[in-house]
Amino acid sequence: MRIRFVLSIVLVCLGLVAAILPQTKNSSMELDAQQLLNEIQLENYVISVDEMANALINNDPEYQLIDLRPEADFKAYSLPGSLNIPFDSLFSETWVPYIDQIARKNVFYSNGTTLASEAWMLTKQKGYKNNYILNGGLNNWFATIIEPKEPASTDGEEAFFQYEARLGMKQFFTGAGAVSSSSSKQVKKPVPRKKKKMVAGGCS
Amino acid sequence: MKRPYIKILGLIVVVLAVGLIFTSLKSSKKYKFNKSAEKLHAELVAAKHYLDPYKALEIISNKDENYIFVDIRNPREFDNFHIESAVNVPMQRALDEEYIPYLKNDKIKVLYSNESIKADQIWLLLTQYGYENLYVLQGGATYWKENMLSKDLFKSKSEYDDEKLKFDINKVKASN
Repeated sequence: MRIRFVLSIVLVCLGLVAAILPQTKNSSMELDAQQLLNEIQLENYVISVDEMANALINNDPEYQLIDLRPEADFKAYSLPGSLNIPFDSLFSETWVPYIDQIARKNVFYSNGTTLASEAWMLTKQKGYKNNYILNGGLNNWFATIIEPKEPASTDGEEAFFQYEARLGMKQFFTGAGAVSSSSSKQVKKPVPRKKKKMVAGGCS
Repeated sequence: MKRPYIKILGLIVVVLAVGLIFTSLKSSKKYKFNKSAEKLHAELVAAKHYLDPYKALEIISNKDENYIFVDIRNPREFDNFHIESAVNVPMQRALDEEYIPYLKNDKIKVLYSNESIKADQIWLLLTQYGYENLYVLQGGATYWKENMLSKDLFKSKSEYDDEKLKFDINKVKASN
């Protein structure tokens, strides 16, 4: 009898502990300052414009671009397939399900990197997963993909492969037949399909 | 025979319970944020924590004692080049006790990194952690080195605001 009584007390105690635990666990899903500082330095939350361009060309469903700029800017120009979540309404009820999910890689972008990085910090601290930022934002997108710079003759072969790949991407995003302002003899060649293969092989 | 058995069981339970509660409390106490992400978000929307480099230069040339410039790059970068009168608080050690005097005081702290992204991230971190009067220098050390040291300051004024669009959207569209 007595053993039973003690055992039931033990169970009740354990139950109490278990009841207390989930709560503290839940709140610790949110990161503390030291954890967030460590996360910042990992740098694995940055997606390059080349990687993103490839994902768009290949119609990769894993990536979801999220434009954080105001609606007017979004309407004036946005990257293909973007969803507009203006930074002001990041934590509104409508959008939280989109930034707190496990299905896809969200890629935040803005004109530069600041806004995207701020949004990433906030969502990371909340414990939300799968959020990334587009390195350099639209400014870097234009400078790298839409108006790629020809490498110097002293640059390595890799730089020229990358340039060729970017010309292919440029053609994809600006439409066929677009002639770049800095067109040289080399520029006319690219065939989008071929470029795709080169990118897949050369990208590391 | 009965008694020691019960005693041991009871002891195990008590130790377990105390241990679990203690560890869960302890882990959540240190480095806990003071501000919720939502509250910080509201501050970010207001976007009042940026300092433009030309105002910063004015502060420095006036030798304004109310300000401290805090370089969050690594010591090697700091030794290579840093803004006059700046102190070095490497970002990976921003929460270390030895740097608290630089960050927790009555002065206005202006954080800078090479550009401004890292400084902005540390701004978020420290502000949410409970530090006050922090600002971020736009353009960072790179812009400073390239633009703020020359004699004819305003002549070749390039863009220091990271979020300013540098391309003409209509032109980009026209090329489609």
